Amino acid sequence: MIAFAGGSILQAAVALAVAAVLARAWNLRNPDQRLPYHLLILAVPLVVHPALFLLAPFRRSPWFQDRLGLLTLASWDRLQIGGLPLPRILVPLAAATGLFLFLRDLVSAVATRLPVAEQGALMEAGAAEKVAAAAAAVACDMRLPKPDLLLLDDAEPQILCRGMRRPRLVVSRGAVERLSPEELRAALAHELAHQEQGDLRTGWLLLALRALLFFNPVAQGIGRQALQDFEHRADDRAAEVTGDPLVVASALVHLARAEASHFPASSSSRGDFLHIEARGRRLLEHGVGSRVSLPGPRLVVTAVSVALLSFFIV
Amino acid sequence: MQSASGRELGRIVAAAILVAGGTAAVLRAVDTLPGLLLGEPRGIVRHASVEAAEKALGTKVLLPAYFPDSLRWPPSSVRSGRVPAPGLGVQFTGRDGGRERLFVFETLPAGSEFPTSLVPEASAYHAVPVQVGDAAGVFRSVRMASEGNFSEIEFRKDGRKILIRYAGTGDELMKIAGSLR
Repeated sequence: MIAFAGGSILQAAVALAVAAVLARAWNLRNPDQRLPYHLLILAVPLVVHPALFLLAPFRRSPWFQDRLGLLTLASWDRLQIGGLPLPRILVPLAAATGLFLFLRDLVSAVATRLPVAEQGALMEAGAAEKVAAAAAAVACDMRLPKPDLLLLDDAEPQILCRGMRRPRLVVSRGAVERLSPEELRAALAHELAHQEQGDLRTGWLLLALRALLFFNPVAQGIGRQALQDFEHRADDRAAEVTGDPLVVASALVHLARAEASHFPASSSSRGDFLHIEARGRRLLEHGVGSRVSLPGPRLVVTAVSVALLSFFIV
Repeated sequence: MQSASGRELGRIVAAAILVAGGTAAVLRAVDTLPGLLLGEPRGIVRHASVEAAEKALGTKVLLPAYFPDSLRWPPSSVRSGRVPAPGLGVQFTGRDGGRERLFVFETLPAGSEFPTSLVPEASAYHAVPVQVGDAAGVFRSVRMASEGNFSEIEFRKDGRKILIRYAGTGDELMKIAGSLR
């Protein structure tokens, strides 16, 4: 058990390091192109490690570990604290961290992505018509069908896409009041981009895969990075639709500030705010991430490098 | 156009080879850290006692019942290795402390080779066949680079390959070998 979990964590960490160095060397900034790398890293503990564990048991032989192993738990077994080999202490600690990260994101996903029932007061008719018209116009620009809207008379500022089978755009009065018409358009474009790219469904799938790797903190971190890619992709798409990254950044920051002032004591909203500021900076500093050439061969070469290294990590 | 993308592909592959090679070197270096911290080569495990080694290896360790007064008990080190076959080395210093005077190396039953790095290098300058109980063996005079001159005897007992190296008289070494239990 310790050997399996430890190998999974080590292989994921090495895959992360290799992919991160190559992505940096190749100046890979476009979230569309970064996402496959994050999925590739996730595939290492999910597919490569169990496959090697089952199909190549000779890798666990002393001869392989001592002669060919690049990084082996057996070497670290020799270091002991209180009579316990170091991996027997570190691997459970790492697994507990992984479980904590998974549960934290699971709770957050359930709270923010489940479909909402039609409850509470609805937005006043005049304002609702304006939002519906803006959403229809943005959807038209993005060549999407008219979105299914739920417009709430709620002071809490929120614009988000919820529901997996029947995605719905939820917009609250609080959000409409705090955003300029251009910013509202950018925020709607961002949420519709999630809908367009099927991010809600993929997000749940990602969470299911993370559940299988609940003990692996590296995989949990990579799962979060993939969600970041979704957000960056939607930011880029909104900037493309509105033609102005500044408006998208401004909408993001205004909404985040409004949310932070609505829940001043929440540490998670402070964290989210920092994260959204970083997204705003990315849009302003780099604009929509440029694409590198030959993305397929780059990914294949990275996958081969990662798989080869994984073979020698036991 | 085609050669430009060919060159780009070459650069991509070169970058990946460089990064993978660098990562492999770093991982291997990291993996030697426990050995460096413990002062043992890769693959060699130091045990706290003979009992701990027996527990780790899952077998009884053969030790001499005849133990000259000039040697200090307990052993100064008990180490085991796994490659090419599992085996154990037990070392004893003299009563006056200082350098090691007795080395007992043994494989596990049916083992034919001692683990790499477990047995210190020694050059033999004299060898004669001997009989240890019912087993045929070889008695050698050897010189170890760091420890000086030793006598050693190699034979098989209970399916194990045994090597005893002793800084003392040949008669005492024969008694030690014959008393292995």
